[in-house]
Amino acid sequence: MALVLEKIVTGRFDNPDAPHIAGYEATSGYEAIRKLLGGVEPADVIEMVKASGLRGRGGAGFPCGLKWSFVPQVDGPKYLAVNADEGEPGTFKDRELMLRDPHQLIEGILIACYAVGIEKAYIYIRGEFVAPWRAVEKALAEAYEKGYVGQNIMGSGFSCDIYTHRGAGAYICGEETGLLESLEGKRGHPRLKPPFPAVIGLYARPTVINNVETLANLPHIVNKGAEWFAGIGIDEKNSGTRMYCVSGHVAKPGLYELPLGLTCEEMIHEHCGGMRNGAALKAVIPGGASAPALTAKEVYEDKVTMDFDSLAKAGSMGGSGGVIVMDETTCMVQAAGRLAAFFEHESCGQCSVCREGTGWVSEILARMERGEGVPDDLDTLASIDPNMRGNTICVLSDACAMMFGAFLTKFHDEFEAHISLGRCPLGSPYPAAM
Amino acid sequence: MALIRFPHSGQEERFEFSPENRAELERIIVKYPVKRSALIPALQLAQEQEGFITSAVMQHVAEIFEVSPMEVWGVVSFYTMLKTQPIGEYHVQVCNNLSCALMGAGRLLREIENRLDCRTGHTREDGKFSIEAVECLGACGGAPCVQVNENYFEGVTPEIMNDIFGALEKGETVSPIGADEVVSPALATAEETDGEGQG
Repeated sequence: MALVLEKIVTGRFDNPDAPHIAGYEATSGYEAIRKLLGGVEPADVIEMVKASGLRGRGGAGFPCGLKWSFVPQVDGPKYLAVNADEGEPGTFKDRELMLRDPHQLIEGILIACYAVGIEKAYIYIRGEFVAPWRAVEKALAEAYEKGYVGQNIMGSGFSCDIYTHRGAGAYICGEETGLLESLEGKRGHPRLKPPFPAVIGLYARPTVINNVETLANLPHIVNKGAEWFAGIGIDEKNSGTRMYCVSGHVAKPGLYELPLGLTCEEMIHEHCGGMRNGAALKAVIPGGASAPALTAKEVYEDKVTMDFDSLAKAGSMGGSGGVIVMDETTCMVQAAGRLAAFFEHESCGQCSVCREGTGWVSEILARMERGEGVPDDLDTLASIDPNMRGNTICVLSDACAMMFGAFLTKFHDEFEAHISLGRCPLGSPYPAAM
Repeated sequence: MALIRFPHSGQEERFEFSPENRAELERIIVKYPVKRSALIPALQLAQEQEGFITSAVMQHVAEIFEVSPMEVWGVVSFYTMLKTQPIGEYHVQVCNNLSCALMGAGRLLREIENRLDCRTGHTREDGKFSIEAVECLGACGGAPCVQVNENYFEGVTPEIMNDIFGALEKGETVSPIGADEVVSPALATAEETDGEGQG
């Protein structure tokens, strides 16, 4: 299957009028929801999204239509919580989607709500994103004014209210049940699952939680059809595009909407201008901080592709689409230590395994980088790793373990060198890169 | 009712929402079927009004939402953007997560500390600037990224920040430096090769 380079969700990014309702309407805006309200059955919308192969763009890559179909058709309120709490290190796409095309998100929300029978949606926007929040608020006001949102939309009898809700600074609120707790006005402590939010979610009611980019794809799938969407990407389970957020040591970091299934090598060298200063590649984190790093060998020899299933097969994951590229000047102990410190900071503290584990890993890696590591440290890290997997309420602990586990396994010599030399082999306490 | 005291605050002044903020809070409360959902928005409004969350704020918010002040404190202490200490007029947040670190955020932070004569985690004596090293701001394509109050400054160098601080010290306003420069060329790449099959 040829990988078509087609801009879907970023199609209006170069259009300065897109954030305004007139500009959005002029580019087939709100046509998808109009079409659905004109007589398409909600169940058929779910089938269409299933057939498109659309998978969640937030982290887990769960099939969107399947997720919707888990919501029981019961009386009483159901909710949609939009996950715009973008905080996975390396990820910066939802911010641009809200700034540059907020109506596309609103239309996506309407489609999801219509399909599942939801009348209230909350967009949970991370607190630091003030400008994106304002852009969405302004777009919502326009959409209410025009009757696209609110009661009896376009005279169809379908009603849907959409509200924004601002976060207050906590990575864990991007975890879907942590988000729900936060939305209920509490500490963002993830909930034990099952029950899953589809059955018992916000205010103990059936709730769908979708990422901004996932929803932004929906108007296009409705307008152009499931088959069209399924035809973009490497296969029917890895269809469509992703907004790859490329950062680090490439010549042209930035946001790239590319079909699922390009190799990591093509992404770096054909799209991102290659490595900065022509330096050699050392490691790539392919899907945000929680995704285990890939080595240069995996990129150039194994030709790992950037779709969900290939990355999973390579022992990593597509995650949030945050691609962090590191060149030969980067110290792997320092990189792992920096991310471990992040996980320690963001651990919600409910589970002792995570609270203590992330802290210990962070501390051991920091002292190793300072040249104060002891030979036992490598064994200690190796013994912490399995204990941090599968033993906690949410997967933050697992993410930390997968992260440092991959660094430790794939760059073992570098960790050993830090201990045997008593310093960072890459030089000064602050290597050039950091 | 006795006011609770927190060791870090010790203040006993009363707190009331301004009439505008009280009205805004009422508008927010009706968005939710359960009132408690407006607790964090209420704290955000109070912080805007007072500069930080005082014990009197927590007491007042507890009364509005009919929960204990400790319940409110539990929420306040969980979220990094809810401040229980006064912060400077300009809150300088330097991202130090991996993508920014790879692009020189460590050096940038040290240069900013020297430039402002203020340590990370502190507020300068004149109350003008507070510096904080923060986790991912979600602007990694424009690393290193610094947030000053609401505004993002992306792809900055110590020299650029020097100019920004100079302007702020003179009381001038500065425009955010957005990701436009970063995002557009990237998307243009996809556009140039539009329609060509790959792989």
